[in-house]
Amino acid sequence: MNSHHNHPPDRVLMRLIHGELGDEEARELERRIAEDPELAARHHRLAAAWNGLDAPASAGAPEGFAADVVAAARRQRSGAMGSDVRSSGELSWSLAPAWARAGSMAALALGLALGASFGVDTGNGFTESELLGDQEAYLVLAEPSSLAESFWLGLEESEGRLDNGVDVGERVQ
Amino acid sequence: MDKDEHSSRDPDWDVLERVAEGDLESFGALVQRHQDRLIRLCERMLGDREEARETAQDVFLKAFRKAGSYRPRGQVYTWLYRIAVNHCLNRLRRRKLVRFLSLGDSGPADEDRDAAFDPADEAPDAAARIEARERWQRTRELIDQLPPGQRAVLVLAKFEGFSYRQIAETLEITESAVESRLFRAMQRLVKAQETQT
Repeated sequence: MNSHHNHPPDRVLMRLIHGELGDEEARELERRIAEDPELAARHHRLAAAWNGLDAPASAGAPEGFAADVVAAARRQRSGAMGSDVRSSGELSWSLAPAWARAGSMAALALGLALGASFGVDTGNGFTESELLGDQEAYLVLAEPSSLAESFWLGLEESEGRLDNGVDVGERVQ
Repeated sequence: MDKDEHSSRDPDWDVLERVAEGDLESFGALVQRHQDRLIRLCERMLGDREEARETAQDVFLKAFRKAGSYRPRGQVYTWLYRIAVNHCLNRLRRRKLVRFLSLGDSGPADEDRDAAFDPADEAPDAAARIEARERWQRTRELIDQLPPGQRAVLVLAKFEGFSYRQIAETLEITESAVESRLFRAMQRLVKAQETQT
């Protein structure tokens, strides 16, 4: 923490408001706030903004929430086992003639374009690929706007932000 | 939440090991134990109760899929919170994108926003409930103006009562980054609140 002989920065005042300072540091800073009107005004502005934030009590999970999640997990698991069986089809794919593969890829691209426009929803809030537990399909299909999102992330990066909103400067600290 | 929670091995890691072996009963118990706090976090990040529940379900299903691949470190709830925050940030980005693509539609109508996250029915009378709703709406308007990274830090600090250290662990950033983001969020909030009044 900075010396208290000068005005402490607002970050230190935030530490006080959030309860991050040790008892002794907090008491010392509170004493200075009481004696220094300019410091007291800065502290008051921050504390008012902080205390002005208010969220209602959450109603929490609805009845049967856990049972629904477990049921979805069970479906996901059976879907994943099914996808293991289907993977034997990879061999016949590699043996297929080039024209057949090209045609299939074109159909897939068309399907993805339609999926990007309309989404592939199973009606319970999950996409089909999520229920199957297929990770690669999840990346493509579970995010109907994945292409557009990539574009958006690119925009954010160009503004100096990484994919989870972390500043570039913060990552390298 | 206790800010100085001990760092001994969280027994939920043992539960997670059983989940990785396919024990759905253990998974159900894990969901029961953490569902309320995760839904609350998502409600405050997203401001929409239904979306928060869907997101929390996604978070638990991801935890189910990844149960066997995560090395025990810290507390299980920290790991769940990390997944939840990332899911919420993705949803917020998607919303931003939808608004961008819908050419100026600034989001749900006021009546939809009101219905999105009513305060729990704890207030003693109608006037108090209306007041609570108005306070929440003002808070949401302020939080909505924050970049996602700052919003995550603010929600964890203010509404979850997390210490800087806990936020840093949850978001996998440094404590100084937490302090910096919270400070910048507060600077914006001070300005915005002064404009509001």
